[in-house]
Amino acid sequence: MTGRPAGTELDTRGPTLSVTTEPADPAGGDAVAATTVLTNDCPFPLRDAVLYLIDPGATMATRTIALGDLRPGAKVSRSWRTQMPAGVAGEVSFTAHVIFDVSGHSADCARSAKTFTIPYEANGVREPYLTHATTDDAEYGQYGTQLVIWSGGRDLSGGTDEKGSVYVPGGAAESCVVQVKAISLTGGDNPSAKYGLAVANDLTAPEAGGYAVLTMSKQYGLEFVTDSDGDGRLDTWAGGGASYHPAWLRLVRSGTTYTAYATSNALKWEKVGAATVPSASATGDAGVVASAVNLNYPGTTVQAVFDHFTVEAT
Amino acid sequence: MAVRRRELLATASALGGAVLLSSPGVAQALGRPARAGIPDYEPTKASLDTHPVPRWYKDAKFGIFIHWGVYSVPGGTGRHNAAEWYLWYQSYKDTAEWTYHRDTYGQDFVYDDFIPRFKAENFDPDSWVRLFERAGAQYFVLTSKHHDGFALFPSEVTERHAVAYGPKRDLVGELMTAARKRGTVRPGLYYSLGEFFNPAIGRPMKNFYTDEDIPMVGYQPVKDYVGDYELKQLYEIIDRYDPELLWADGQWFRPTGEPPWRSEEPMAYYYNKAKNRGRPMGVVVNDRFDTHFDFATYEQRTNPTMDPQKWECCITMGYSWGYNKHELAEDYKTSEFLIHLLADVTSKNGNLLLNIGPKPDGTIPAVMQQRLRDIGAWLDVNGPAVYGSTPWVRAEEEGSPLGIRYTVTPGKFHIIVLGAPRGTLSVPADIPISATSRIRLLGHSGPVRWTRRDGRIHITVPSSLPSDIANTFTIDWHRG
Repeated sequence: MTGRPAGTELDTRGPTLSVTTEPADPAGGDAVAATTVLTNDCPFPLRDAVLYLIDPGATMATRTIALGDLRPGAKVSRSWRTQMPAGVAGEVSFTAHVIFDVSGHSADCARSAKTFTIPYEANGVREPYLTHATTDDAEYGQYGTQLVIWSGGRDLSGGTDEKGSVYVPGGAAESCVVQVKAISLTGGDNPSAKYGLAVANDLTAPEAGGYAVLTMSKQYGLEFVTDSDGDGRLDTWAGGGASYHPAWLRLVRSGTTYTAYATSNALKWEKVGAATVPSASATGDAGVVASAVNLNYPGTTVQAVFDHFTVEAT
Repeated sequence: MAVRRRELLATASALGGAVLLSSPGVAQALGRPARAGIPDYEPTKASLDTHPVPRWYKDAKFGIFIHWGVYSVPGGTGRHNAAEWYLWYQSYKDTAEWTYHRDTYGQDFVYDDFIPRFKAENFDPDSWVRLFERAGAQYFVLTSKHHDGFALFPSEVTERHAVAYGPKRDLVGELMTAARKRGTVRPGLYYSLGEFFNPAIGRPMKNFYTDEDIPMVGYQPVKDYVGDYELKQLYEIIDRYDPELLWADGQWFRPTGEPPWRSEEPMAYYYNKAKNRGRPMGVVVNDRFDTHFDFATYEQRTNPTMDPQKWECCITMGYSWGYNKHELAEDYKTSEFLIHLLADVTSKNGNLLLNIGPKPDGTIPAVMQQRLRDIGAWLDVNGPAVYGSTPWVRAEEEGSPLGIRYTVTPGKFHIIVLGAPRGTLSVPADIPISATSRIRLLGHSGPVRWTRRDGRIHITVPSSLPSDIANTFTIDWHRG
């Protein structure tokens, strides 16, 4: 057995870590003083402790502080001044994360965060992204690597194609992988509302061919729909199962063959279906789409949030 | 066959030094001397909430779940069927399971008629423990009693157990003794608080084709399901087997009127008993006792984010927890997936409790053994990045072509690549690395070349990799 301790002398509830901010409820752009307090409540020293301080919306630490060994009862406070980023939305946090060694065999950590919910706003998208809507109520936002679509639309299947889309023109090469993390779909009441990936020769004109859509619906699972004859109508279907959010969605294009995959954990990609789209041209557009599917819920819209949208030639 | 207390003790003493012969009872929960500096736990959630997650459990990362019981005999009704729920599914008229049972065994053959066929004739507890060792598992959790109410241990409050019927052996005791004898894998026990059917719960056993109430094999009438039966069995397994982990389940099968489970009583007793001894033992409980818990359970799913509260992903290899003879080879998760899952769970502060479903004779299906050996072979090389590790500031690089997971152990930082990278591996430059750092690839001799360029660390991947499944790059990390 690896690292089996002699007894329970290393069993403790761990150090106490907290994060506070001033002001307590900052708005985007506000100057913020964040403070973290670490107290070693353990009956042994925390060896080689390193403290990470992370700003809202960031994946990398703003500051990394080597604390050395912290004896039992030691209390450490660190503050950092920053600005509440204007370009973040959703659930964001000021986070402190401390790593330390417990023994020669064991490392441990503590983590604390002060979390805020900042509403997404339709701030538009930036290059290389373009937008296109086949409903008159679509809006768009971009926050770092996140893309947001607000959209109505009666349906996105068969011959009804009403959606909002954010796309990269000419992004889908003849052999490519299009992938996104569909994070959340909120607003609207329809369990059939959907959001996901789309590729086409021209996403502003599905009738130009090469059209395929892979979506996760609000409650009714996955849908992979394609245009088999180049008339712009989505006339093949595969999918089903239960919905999950977030969902990783992947479309693999190999010539005129599209294969759809999905996963909840990015560990095991489940094949949703494969279809031939003979009208697919050498290069096409690739993007993300959302539709409220509000035929029976008139006037409702949804907010779809995506992250990590990528298109890679293979 | 009745098992009287004298026989119970004889059975227990046959188990050797691992067994504590104190009699079960609430009285033992209190009144013991407290170890210096650590007051006894009181049977309240507030007191129990002060209990720490033991170091061994935090360090372990990988355990084996074992679902074994009478339900292993029918072995499910179809490919995508949870075999351990056979009795419950069968109770619903005209379902596929109800029909399957009638067509296969006849409507006069009731669930308890499977008990004599549960023989465990090839059960070799030593070989089980050796397999768990080989898998690199640090603990196991055996179903001491599942929802069908058939205990794998002898009990004073019922004769519905494996010493009186079926195998006529104390299966729990034998496995616990084997584990303690080798001292390599920590023993834990699962116990279902509620049961599908039990007269004391208000749901008597029936023939589901005639709707007649029928006797439940081994049942001894009690007035209070919780106090006279469930709690007493919990004390029995705590006292007799001294498990290092207790894993509750079935709390939703409440007795009529939904009284509280009163789990605080045995839990305080369990904690106090573990600490008030010459050499204290760290023990741990899951989150299905309807009160305090040490770790959260994620059943058949993972926690997508790093969680400072310790958690455990329990997952089946196929579809079923109990042995399902209808499952096909392709129904089993691949070794690749299971190893990736272990790395993912570890990076996010979880443990992986991977299930096996032994056959009724006590043998473990070959496909399950193979998966465990594959994981063990990977851990033989990559274990230094797993055991005793803690999450780094972020667990993964989301959206990277090959999955990347990070872990930290004393003096080391680990990059676990889910797959076999070719050419150059690129990661963000905020990983803890300095100009003099050396990167090693676990299972590969000699350092690996790397450069810092364009805000990223570029690692030259050796042409020959230790694994096609997942590879670990390790950096010496001097944190001062």
